[in-house]
Amino acid sequence: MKKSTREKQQKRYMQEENLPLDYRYRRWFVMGVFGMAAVSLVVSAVARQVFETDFLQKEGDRRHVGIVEMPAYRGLIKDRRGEILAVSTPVYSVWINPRAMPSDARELAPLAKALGTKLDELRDLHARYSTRAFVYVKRRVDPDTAHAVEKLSKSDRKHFNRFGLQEEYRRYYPTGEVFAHVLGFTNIDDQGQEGLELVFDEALQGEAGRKYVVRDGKRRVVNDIEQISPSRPGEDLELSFDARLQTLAYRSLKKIRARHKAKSASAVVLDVKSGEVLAMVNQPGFNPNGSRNNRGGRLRNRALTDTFEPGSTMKPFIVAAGLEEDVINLASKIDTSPGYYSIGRDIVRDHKNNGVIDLETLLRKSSNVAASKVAMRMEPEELYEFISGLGFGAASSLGFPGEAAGQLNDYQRWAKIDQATLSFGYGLSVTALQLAQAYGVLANGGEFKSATFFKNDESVLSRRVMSKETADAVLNMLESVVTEEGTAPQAAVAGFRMAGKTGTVKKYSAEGYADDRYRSVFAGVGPLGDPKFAMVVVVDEPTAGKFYGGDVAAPVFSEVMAGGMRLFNVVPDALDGVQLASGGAQ
Amino acid sequence: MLVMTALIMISGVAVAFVKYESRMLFTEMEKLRTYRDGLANDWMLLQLELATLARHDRVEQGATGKLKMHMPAQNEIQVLYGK
Repeated sequence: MKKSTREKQQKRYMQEENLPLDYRYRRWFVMGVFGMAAVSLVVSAVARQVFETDFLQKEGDRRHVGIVEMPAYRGLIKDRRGEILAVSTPVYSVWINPRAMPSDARELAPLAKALGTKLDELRDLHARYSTRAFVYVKRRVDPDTAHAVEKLSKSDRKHFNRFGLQEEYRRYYPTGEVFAHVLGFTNIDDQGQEGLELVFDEALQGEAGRKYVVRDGKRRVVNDIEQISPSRPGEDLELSFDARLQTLAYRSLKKIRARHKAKSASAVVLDVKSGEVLAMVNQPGFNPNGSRNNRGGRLRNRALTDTFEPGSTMKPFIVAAGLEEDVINLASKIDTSPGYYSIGRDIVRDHKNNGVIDLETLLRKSSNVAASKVAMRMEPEELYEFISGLGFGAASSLGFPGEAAGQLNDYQRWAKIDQATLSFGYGLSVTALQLAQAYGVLANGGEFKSATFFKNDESVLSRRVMSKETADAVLNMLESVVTEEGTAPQAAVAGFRMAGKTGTVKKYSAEGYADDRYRSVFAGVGPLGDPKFAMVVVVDEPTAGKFYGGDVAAPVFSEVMAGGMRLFNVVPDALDGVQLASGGAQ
Repeated sequence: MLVMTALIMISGVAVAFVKYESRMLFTEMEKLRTYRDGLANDWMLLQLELATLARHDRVEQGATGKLKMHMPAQNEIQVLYGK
């Protein structure tokens, strides 16, 4: 075999020598063509490698290398005990590629069935977006639907990329409407729209990372190549709230609003020593997991956005201001007869003539005349400084969207009567939170703590507004309000010494102060042995007959505070009527 | 010159090798990341389930309804003083 090959070769060479001339030219020609081909190959190779390399590489990458986002998790929101208030869970959205998907019923029917939608709807959608390559059919389907679609798409393997599932994140609020106003909510793309979700959107969102991937001809990701930037998961927020107390407050407020057929209601509970907001609830509410229309202002966090005239709940601060400015002392008696007090053309009235009363009686009977007389003894500037020192007239440091600052006019613009009306809470407006903050000052030995939504927040502002003696004295006077002789016996909490003040405020409208529309307010603190909580309850326009703060708002205070004492293991400081176990001590 | 050429050759190969290595590691990391994401998703769903099942009004309903419990009234409470 080998031998014969060589023979053949030899034979060929010999033939070559004897070739005719024509054939020799032909050979040169063929060689030349090959040569030119070789040269042009080299030239074009050099051209591509050296001169066009950037362009070609870019084109290649454009076709096969893509940048893909690595989504970051949105952080959790937890309460002070680590209970989860907001969490992003994976959900699936179903998409189709109308360009690849035929529109006839036979192909679309299984998908429509899996989705539980009408075939016609699906065909409409298909027709409307027939030129697009990606259309959501249904976003955020439930897990069963997602499963059905996934199964279907697996059986549809031969037509890749006609329809499928896309993973997304949906925010879910396990506590529902209880925390709705505080937390707010996110939109369909998981961006904060309201409440704390909006305020801390950036921190919660984190940062999506990016990476290079290789794709095949059908744009499927084949391989990950390289990370461009790492993804940074969103931070978790740990709030100052206690979900148990919040739930209790919400339910209590909801019950009271229904019973008194009120327009709206709010309640705030603060920890007086740290300024932490433990509960903040409003009515009407909404379900953040469901529809979010703002009918009747139900999305508003009224405890922060709505202002009201505080009415009689201002009186303790007038007494405190009087004590601080030395225009009265603890033994002072004020003559309120004949039950009214003229200031220029205006008259301040009490319900009845209380005669000569001391400071405790001023608060217990809620005498407008006595409070006005105390206020009138002070310089307007002193009174103004004191009141604004309590945090009135300025937005709190919470930075909540839509938060109101309230109104406290500058003393230089006060008429005489303004100074008097201020003493019983008219002519200025406050939010429920501001009022709770101010009562917190009385409970915290005269030191103001700015409210915060965060646990162990070190940025809380602290300033002394009054002496500890004054604060304690006023608190002790306020204890009498929460007794049978006071205006709010229903605010009492068994086993604890509580203090507070009622307010029944006439609502102001275009025609002046209405005689039939009220706002019932109760502001209180406790327990007096070692104050922990300050709470404000505001019920707007109760229409079921009762409207006194002591009847409408005080029961909410009592119920929530009783729960708070239990939840926070507060030691009882009034043990009358509590049985002591005999010999049970260890 | 020869040494330089050799060094350049070596460093070139080294660059290619390291690049390759880093891509392999990244692929590995991506795999693990996907696994982690799966676990995180499961965890979140479980958290959600926990939060839903342990909702306070649900617990309270169970306590007062099913288990017939109630908040102790004032006369049912005994305070023990210990040191």
